[in-house]
Amino acid sequence: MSLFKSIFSPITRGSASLFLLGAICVNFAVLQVNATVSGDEEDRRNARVQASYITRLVKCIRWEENSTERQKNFKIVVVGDETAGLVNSLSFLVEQTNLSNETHFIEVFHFPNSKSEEAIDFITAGTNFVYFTQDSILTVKDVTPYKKGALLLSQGREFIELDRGCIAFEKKKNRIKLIMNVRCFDRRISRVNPVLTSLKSVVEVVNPYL
Amino acid sequence: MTTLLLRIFVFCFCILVGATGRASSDSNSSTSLSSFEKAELRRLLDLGISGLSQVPVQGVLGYEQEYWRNPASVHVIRPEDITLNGYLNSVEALRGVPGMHVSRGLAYDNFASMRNFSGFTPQKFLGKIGGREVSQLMLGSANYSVDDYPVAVIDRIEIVRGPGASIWGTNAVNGVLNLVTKHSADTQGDSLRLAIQDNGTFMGDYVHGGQVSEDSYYRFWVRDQEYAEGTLDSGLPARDDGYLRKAGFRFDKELNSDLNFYIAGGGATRRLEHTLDLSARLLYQNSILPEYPEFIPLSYIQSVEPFLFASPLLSDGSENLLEGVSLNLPSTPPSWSSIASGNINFGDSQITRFEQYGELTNDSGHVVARLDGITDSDLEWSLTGAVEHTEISLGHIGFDWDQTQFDLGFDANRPLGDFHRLSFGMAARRTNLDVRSTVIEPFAFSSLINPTYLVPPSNPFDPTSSSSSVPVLSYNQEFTEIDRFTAYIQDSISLTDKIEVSVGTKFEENDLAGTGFQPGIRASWLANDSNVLWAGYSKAHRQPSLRERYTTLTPAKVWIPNPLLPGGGIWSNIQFEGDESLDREEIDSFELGWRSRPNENLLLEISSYYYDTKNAVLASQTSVNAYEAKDAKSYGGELSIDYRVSDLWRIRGGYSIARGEVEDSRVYDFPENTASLSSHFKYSDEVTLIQNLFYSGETKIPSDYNPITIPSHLRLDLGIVWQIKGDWEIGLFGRDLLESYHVETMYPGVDVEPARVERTFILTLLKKF
Repeated sequence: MSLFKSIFSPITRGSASLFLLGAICVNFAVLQVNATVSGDEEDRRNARVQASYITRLVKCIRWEENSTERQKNFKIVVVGDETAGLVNSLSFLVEQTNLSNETHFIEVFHFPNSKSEEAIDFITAGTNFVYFTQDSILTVKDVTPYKKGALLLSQGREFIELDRGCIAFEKKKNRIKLIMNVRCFDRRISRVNPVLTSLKSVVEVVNPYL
Repeated sequence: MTTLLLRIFVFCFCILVGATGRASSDSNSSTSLSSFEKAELRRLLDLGISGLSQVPVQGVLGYEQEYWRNPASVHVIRPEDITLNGYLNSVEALRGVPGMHVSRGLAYDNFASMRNFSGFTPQKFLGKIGGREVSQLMLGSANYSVDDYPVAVIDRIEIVRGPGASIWGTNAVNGVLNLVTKHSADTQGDSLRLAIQDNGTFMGDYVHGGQVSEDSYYRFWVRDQEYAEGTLDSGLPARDDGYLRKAGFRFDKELNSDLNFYIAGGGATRRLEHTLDLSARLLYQNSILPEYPEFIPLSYIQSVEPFLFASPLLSDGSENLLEGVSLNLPSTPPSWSSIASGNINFGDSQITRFEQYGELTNDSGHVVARLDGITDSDLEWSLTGAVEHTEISLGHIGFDWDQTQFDLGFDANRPLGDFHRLSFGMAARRTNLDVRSTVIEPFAFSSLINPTYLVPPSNPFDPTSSSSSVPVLSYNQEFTEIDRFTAYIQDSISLTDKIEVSVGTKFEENDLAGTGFQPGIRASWLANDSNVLWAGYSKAHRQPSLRERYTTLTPAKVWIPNPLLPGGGIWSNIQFEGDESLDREEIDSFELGWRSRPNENLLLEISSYYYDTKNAVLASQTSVNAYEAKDAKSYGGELSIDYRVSDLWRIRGGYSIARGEVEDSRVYDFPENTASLSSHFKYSDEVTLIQNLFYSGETKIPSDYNPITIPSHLRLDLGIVWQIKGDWEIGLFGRDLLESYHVETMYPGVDVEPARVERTFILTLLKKF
């Protein structure tokens, strides 16, 4: 114990405050010269939370008996480039979900901007969710003619209010909330579980046509 | 060598705090997932939609305990860790937490301690349950059985090892235990849990949750626990059978999309008996037999007296100095004869056993309300108020107190630019006490009020110098209103994408701990995608308990032989006074840790600590006071492993090493080595096989006059859980299978005979929501 005593006594007897002060000064000094990519970690967590939401939403959407979307595996298509790990997060979650014997077998497909034409072809063949990344060159207008019953998802309020998408993730007050376009579910192909829309603090239901 | 180690510590800390240049250059822009991220995704997968909406995008160090870059040693217990292992209550689940020591006192309670110098009363870690600070001021401990919740309403239990004073506050010395309950919306429907042991102990709880309106939910719950009688180490019945009955509620309302309110409350009543071992509390003061201690149990000296007179020589051949001399032995008081029950071993001989039983009661109720929200400027805030009233009676020693506490606290945090998140808050607490002492019957015979009356010029013949009303514990009634005010500020800084730092301090004005600041700084460094190094320095305070400061303990009566006195002597008392001058304990803590996740299925964590404590309050062996302040040091570390071998098999293990020194002498109030190994194997989709192995090293429980040694022990638990249908589960568990029983104990100070923890079998039935 004399070893530890001799080690720490210089720190604990009088110099602890100086040590702490020094550390704080180093922190702030370095902070000024390191305006780096703290946002990356936020973006990545944002992507992980969105991916988790999407996996959950699979179970909250009820497809009508005769719709082609109900008959097949649940297909999630991500269009556009992305660097925050959303596709990999989604794939990992889907893998875990499929392992746990959920009711739907889910598949994830990613088409970066360089494969936009292939994406359109794939969507035309039938899919359930189409997620537009922030960097996607494809837009709602590009996809709508081919999407059949697919629900369109992306990030940001304008995706609902301007682009007329179906579900948007909005980062607000350090949390991720959902905005849902009521018109997307007001039809016979798919309906949203009413429990979801009752979560007022989580889901904001809007009608962009009003 | 010492210089080298010092440099290593400072170097590591500086790396974490300041060496940011390199780390910032290679931001994590890869789309591939790190093993930490995969593990987090698994956790997110368990959350519902409402749960996901509560996940912060930018974490706040010190709040979000499961964040892998958290610069602290953290262990989180989930409800399934309780049900799958067959634990009756949440404190039992702490056995598997490295750095924690759980001991089962008698049939009804488990007590927990963390790292060093932390007996069970006081515990020296902060206990928060359901938003309330539950550590009692009187004994400095929490009663987790009384404050426990049904497992169905528990969201998680966070165990933060090491000081966290800048946010958590006073008494978060060795760590924090924070039990978080679920939102009422997450407990909709009905849940039931029944557990019965082969010895007759039963516990059942029922939870019902419902929806009042679109944005308001409620739940209520009841629990009944019936304790079977345990057995003391001597084999005598512990007479600790009784019951604990509880009920509680919670109502949540979403006032608007950014404003939430909840109110929760509960009440508990417990009735059982408890015992105080008086066998060595009727003493004889020895001043003429050097080979015997100063104080000898009266029945022992009575038993050897015929031998002493039988021969002019003692058995060792030495001369019998007492030959022909009257020992002036008093007769045993009648009240003691009535509680005599056989004999127990004392050295090479036996002495009469005296056991004092009395009713131990606990009635308590509380209400806690909280309003929280987020403003447009991203300020997250909460306002919490709580009122709690507790009535406790320790009938076996004749000590009762009523305690009423009022708490009001405000906490907030908000981002400052892209790299800072500022946390701040303040809180106030008032505690009102009504403390009463009564004299238990064995002590109700005339004796000197104060042993100093034997010393001239005091006169032991003065009628006012003696009394038959000297209680075992008495409280200084001047201290029945205690206030505390705290305020804190902390900045969580993202120095780079690799380095997180939190720096802050807490200010406290406390009637028991004085005025002071408790600063702390912690940093973590994401060395690569699968390794995190962290370090921290904290200064923390612990307030002495009321027991340590303001109570006088009279644990024994002693016969003082004196030929000049009528009867050949006089009864006096052995007394230990509380010490009003006991100052707060001040701890400088240094911690280093490494968290590694080679892949998403394997987590390794190592944490180490060094505490330098000034004014550590310890049971006194030399002073007239029950406790005294000494400088102490402790160091050690914990290793934990969480390995998902496959989708069917999960193994978790832990090991802790702890060393404590008081003024360069080793102490053993905490086991120097503990270990645990847990295996959960899914035999099929419905059946899970459970195995738990626990090892605890020997402990020596400090005591005012009678330290207790608890031998090391190894415990094996096996269980099987069968998911019979939907949300129904049946479990069968065998505990302590390696031996018929081992001994554990709880209270230092006013000690009781250690109790046997016997091999038991438990059948459980669980209906989840």
